[in-house]
Amino acid sequence: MANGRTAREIKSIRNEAVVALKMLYPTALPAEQLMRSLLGLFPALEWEYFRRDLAYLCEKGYLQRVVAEREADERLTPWRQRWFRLTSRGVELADHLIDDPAMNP
Amino acid sequence: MSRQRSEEPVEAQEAQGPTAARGDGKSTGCEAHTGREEKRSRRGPTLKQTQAHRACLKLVGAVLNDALGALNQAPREGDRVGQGAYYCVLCDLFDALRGAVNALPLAKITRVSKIIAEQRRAETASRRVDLAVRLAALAQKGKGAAYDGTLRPVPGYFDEMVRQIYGVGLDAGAAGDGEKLNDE
Repeated sequence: MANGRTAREIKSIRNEAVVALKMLYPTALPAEQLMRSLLGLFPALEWEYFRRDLAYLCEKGYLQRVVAEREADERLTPWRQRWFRLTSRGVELADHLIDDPAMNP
Repeated sequence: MSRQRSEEPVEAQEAQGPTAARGDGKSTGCEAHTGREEKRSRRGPTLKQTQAHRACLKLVGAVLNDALGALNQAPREGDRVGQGAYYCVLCDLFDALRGAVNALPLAKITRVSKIIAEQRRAETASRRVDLAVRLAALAQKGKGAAYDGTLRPVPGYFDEMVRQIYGVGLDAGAAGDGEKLNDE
């Protein structure tokens, strides 16, 4: 149990985020849109937790932030408006070519 | 061929059986593609819901990549306007294709497409001028003649280049100077 969520829930949400971006690969998507699409599957998904999931996936090297041209200062862009795309490592994970125990429910 | 990674948890959930349904009566865009609303388990989505969601996203991704893929793959430094337009309309298109909104913001898309068209026209014109200048430089180099201080007649294409850049040719400037001299 972490932050009121079970390990299974956390992994499922992270998995679906990776799979969703894989379906759109190489297109990037803002975090807001990504979360809205995931709300169809996880209606109880909360933004604060999802933001942590995104940060985690970025640190793991599965997601990559894309800085749009109109972002004057990328550090000041709100998380909801930040763009993310899958890295090559993320694609490999989504295709089950590499294994990550932390992503295996 | 191995299965897709995230099918596994869903199957595991299916094996455990669905628990209490949420029953909030809300539908999402992806559910609209399945044709009927399904009950949601507290532990997570069912296999059918997940499959419908992925099928929906797969179609959306295919359409977006077909329609806007060229803008996305363009080098960032070389095509900033294209990139900006891509990011500008992508969210709206994504929501519309996913079924989250009913109408596309046509006014916005029209405005963006006009900006891109103008930008492309300007880029093409400047590229032509650059090419002409480079060709002229190469031709000059090929002759091997260094500048010896003597004035030579201006090549014909130079007048056209000036006309494209400034809107008037070299003759207009010469005539204007002449008139000025006469006035004095």
